[in-house]
Amino acid sequence: MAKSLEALGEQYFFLKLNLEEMLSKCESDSEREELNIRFAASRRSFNKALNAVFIENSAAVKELREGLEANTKEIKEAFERRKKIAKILELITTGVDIGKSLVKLGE
Amino acid sequence: MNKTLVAKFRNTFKTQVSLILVLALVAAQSACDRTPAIELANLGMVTGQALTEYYESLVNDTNDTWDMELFWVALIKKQNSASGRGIDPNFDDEDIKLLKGRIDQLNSRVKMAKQMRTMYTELKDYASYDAGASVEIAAKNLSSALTGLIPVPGVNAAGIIGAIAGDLERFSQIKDLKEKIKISKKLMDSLNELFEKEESAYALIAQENNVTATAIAQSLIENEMVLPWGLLDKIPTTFGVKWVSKTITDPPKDDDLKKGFIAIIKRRNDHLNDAAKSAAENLGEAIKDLAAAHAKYLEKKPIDLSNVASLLGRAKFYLGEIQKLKQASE
Repeated sequence: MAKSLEALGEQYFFLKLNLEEMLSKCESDSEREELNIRFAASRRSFNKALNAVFIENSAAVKELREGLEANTKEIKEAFERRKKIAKILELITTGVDIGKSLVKLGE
Repeated sequence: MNKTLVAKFRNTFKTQVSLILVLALVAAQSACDRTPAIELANLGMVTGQALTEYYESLVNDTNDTWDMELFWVALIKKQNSASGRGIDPNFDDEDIKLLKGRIDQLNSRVKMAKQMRTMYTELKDYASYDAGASVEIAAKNLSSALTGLIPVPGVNAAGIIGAIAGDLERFSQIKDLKEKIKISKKLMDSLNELFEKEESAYALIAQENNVTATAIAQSLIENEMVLPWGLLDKIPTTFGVKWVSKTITDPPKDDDLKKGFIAIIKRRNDHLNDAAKSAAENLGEAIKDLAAAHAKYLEKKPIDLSNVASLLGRAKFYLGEIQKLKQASE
């Protein structure tokens, strides 16, 4: 099982399915721009991860993967509870950064 | 007739009878070996064909995702350009390079699967009537397809499969069916290892396609650009009622109705994702079982390929389901 790849896919797919609604909740162009940039980065990480190999039992990979899984859960909850987009954006930024670090470990 | 001649005749006769008996025994043994070898070759051909179709479906999924993403980005831009800034998450050169690389990797697997099918077809002919020359060509083609297999960088396909390429090069020089099956087993073992390592990626490539289609469908329903009534077509058919024409000529405008249709689309997305996962799992299991059957053949144990056939049948069923669902969504 490629758990890290699946964790990256889960976050990217959630963002893709809900990007339009999130964009409609943005209150400024800078928020919209940031959201689009983060989404594109999530997609990039997924595409890179398809070519990566993750040592799933390494402590560093495990820590980042679990961090990413927890972060996706937080994003989903915040989105379902209709939290302010600024808060959701903050969570997405954290998740995308974790994703990038995770992919680096697999390259 | 003198005694010497009679003795010579008897000796010659005995030798000839012995030779015939030995040949008959060899032929009987050979026939015993050949029947399961033909069965292995048959299933090898079907697996090669199923793999070809599977890898081709992933190439199509990647191309479709790419096309759909371009359209989806345009839709998003339309929704968010009121301010005039036209922000969108479009692909840049690196994204395009990654997508092209993925298509090349999958196409090299299509080529390998096609050659595998051809090699097993020729092996079947060989097992049936020693068609040596054509096996030589098939094995050499498979060998070059394997050495040309573009690896997913981390998976190291070259390392997994590379070792078998040399064996396939000398496949034709081997005149023994068992030795040929030994090489086929090595191929199946390598393929099994490759598929196991890449299986999750395959399912996620199909899933990305489904998610992208769902995101677009959602957007089109939200923005009243499509008529989603067809998603409910079963209801009038089941109860023999007809749509009121003015209902189905306009897109739903009510938010709750839109949400209902989007929920159906998302449910279909889940179903497609499950089917994609099941197709990959069944194909992976079939490859594993077929490799194990090669080992049993070499150990002279009876082989039962019914499970391989049933796993391949299931993989094909799920791929067919995906096609049906996609066509229904169109």
